Amino acid sequence: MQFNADTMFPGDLFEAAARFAADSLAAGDRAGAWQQAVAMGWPVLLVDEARGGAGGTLADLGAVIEGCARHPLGLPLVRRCAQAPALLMAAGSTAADETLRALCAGEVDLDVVDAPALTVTALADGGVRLDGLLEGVDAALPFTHVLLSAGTLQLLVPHDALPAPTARFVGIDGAQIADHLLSGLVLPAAAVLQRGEAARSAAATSQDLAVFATTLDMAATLGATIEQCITYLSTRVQFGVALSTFQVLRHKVVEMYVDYESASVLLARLVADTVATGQLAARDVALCKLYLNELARRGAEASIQLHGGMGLTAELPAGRLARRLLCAEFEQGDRFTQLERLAAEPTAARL
Amino acid sequence: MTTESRSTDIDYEAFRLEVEAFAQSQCPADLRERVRSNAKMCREDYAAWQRILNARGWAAPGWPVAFGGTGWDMRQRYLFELVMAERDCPPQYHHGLGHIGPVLLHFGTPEQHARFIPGILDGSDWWCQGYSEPGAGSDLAALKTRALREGDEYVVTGQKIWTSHAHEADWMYTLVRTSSEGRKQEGITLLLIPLNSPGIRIQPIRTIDAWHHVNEVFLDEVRVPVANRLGEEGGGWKCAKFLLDRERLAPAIVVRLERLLQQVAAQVQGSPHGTSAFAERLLLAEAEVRAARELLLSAIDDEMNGRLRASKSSALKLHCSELAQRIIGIAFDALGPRRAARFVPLAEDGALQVAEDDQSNMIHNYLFYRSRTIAGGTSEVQKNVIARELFGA
Repeated sequence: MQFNADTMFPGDLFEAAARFAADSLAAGDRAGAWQQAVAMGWPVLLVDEARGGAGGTLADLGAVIEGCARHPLGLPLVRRCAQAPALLMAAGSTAADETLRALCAGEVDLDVVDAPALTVTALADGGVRLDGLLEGVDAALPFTHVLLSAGTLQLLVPHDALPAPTARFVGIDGAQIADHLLSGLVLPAAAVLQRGEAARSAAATSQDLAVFATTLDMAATLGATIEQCITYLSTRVQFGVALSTFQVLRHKVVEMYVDYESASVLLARLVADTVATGQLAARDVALCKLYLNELARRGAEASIQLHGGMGLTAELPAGRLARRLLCAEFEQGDRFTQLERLAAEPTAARL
Repeated sequence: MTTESRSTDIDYEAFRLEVEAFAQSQCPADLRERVRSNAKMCREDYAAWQRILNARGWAAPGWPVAFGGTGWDMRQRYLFELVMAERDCPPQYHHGLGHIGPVLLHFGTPEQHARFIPGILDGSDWWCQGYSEPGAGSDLAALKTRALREGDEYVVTGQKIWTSHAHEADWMYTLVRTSSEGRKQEGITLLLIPLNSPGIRIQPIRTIDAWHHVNEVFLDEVRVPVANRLGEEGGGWKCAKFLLDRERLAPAIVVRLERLLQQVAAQVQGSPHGTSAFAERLLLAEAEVRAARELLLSAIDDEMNGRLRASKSSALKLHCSELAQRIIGIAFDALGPRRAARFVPLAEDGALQVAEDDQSNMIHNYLFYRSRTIAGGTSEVQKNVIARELFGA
């Protein structure tokens, strides 16, 4: 029996998410897939039922992310289903609570952008004026508002308040983003969800969750990548034999597998600790991301190499997975970002 | 999801505290200092600690109570090893307790139990392994050392190589060829040979780490009583396989990694390049050590539930042995520029001296750790084991 990547979050939700991702990928309709995800309540999965959400757990979020990672659609699950609701819940203001209520009611659809370089000018009426380049806004899937972290402010920016994009891009994994040049964009006081230390703290909390969710995505994608490699090597015949008979290729896959097992158990421990303590440990999250960044790059490059020329083709499932791994490395903080976060604490003390 | 979720009647926390108290109060300071400084351990060191453990009834953590073991489950064994590593207590000498001991328990006669088990438990008998030969390393079944039956004795002639600790051992458990018929695995027999037997010559092999670990053992018509045969004639391969299957999980290899990383991190503090030059590698190593610990705990959970796959235990061995090299490699980078050219001090007469300071020991260990991916099944052999499971063939 060949290798099948185990899920960390087995159950109906994982199975349903994996089926949904496979079907949606086959249909090739990302916008339609996102509408379905919204209809299934995934953007409010983590929100308490008392607040109108689905009352799901971290494991439920993990099941959705893992399931979808097996057939990468490029849905913004981390930003919209983890980071956005977490930011609103952590902000703890009336305006944030109202936005959360609207999200649960399906009245708003939120993208999340971190924009530390924007110039923010406070206005006398409590509103703000924004100047500068707002980078990385979703350019493919519909949304009504952007949750913006700018300095020590959290802002809710209506989509229709944004000027036309100055540029649009397709990422390595196919996701589309846009940059918008803001010139004196004025937002009323009601658009300010939180300020100061409370805003900074909420941003940090939600970012930890987003980083963690990204690592789950990466581990699951790596598992799916290994499956693809094994299938390919077992069926592709060269020199009259299956490629899987060549020891050097088998060993390459084994190295990917050991990486995958290591990542999986490390993340399982993080989940268990989080359930036990009720909160994600920021340092542990950063350490996992640093590690997964390394493994993701290694796994993507190995997969491309193992597939030979086929590994360079854009439509092959393995190619999609590899490109997703390469992108995920830079999402929610590359190696340098994680190193900066980890620099404050010595290594040995934490073992 | 958690690897420690299995319900049990054992109070693991109380057990851990008991082991900690014991380690703190009973392990001599000089031994702990040798372990802390990563000095080369010899029989005298191991045996001293084994006597102390034996007096406490903890001589054999992996053995059943009926044979003088503790009867601990895998989680207790892990906690025991964890505390031992944290407190810088010596590891236990593995050839008796971990290797031939379990084979003796399973295949030995009552007379063999009575003769050999007490000496393993109290550390008075020291064992080494006579497996590898110049032409039989990873392909162990190709071994040629022959044993001819003459009455109640075997007459053994041949050569063993890479025999760790032979120079300080009393006995060698030895795979010999008693038949050349059939499959090559079928003609192998396991003999227990006293190393003071006439016809045995032990010659050290100088290794790159400048420590004396391994030897060549030459056997020239060595007469071994048939009573020293373990298992059936031709059953040696079964014994060797039994050992491999049983020793799939070794908690010590993980917990000692954690301590090693702490020590390497401390060494790096004094590097002229500053700690920041090593920060990323140390952090990645920390993540990998944590992953190793979780892999072990997950494997222990699997083992206790009868579902441990060979691929997981081989993955653990592979991960740990290569990680050990990466960790010690960090120290090598930090200390190498000065220490590589000042590896071993010379006396006035040109003789090599022993330097046992922490930095010297790190360099010795960097070289010694090259063996981690070779001994006990090379990384390539482990990869073959895993690949068979991943590919289903």
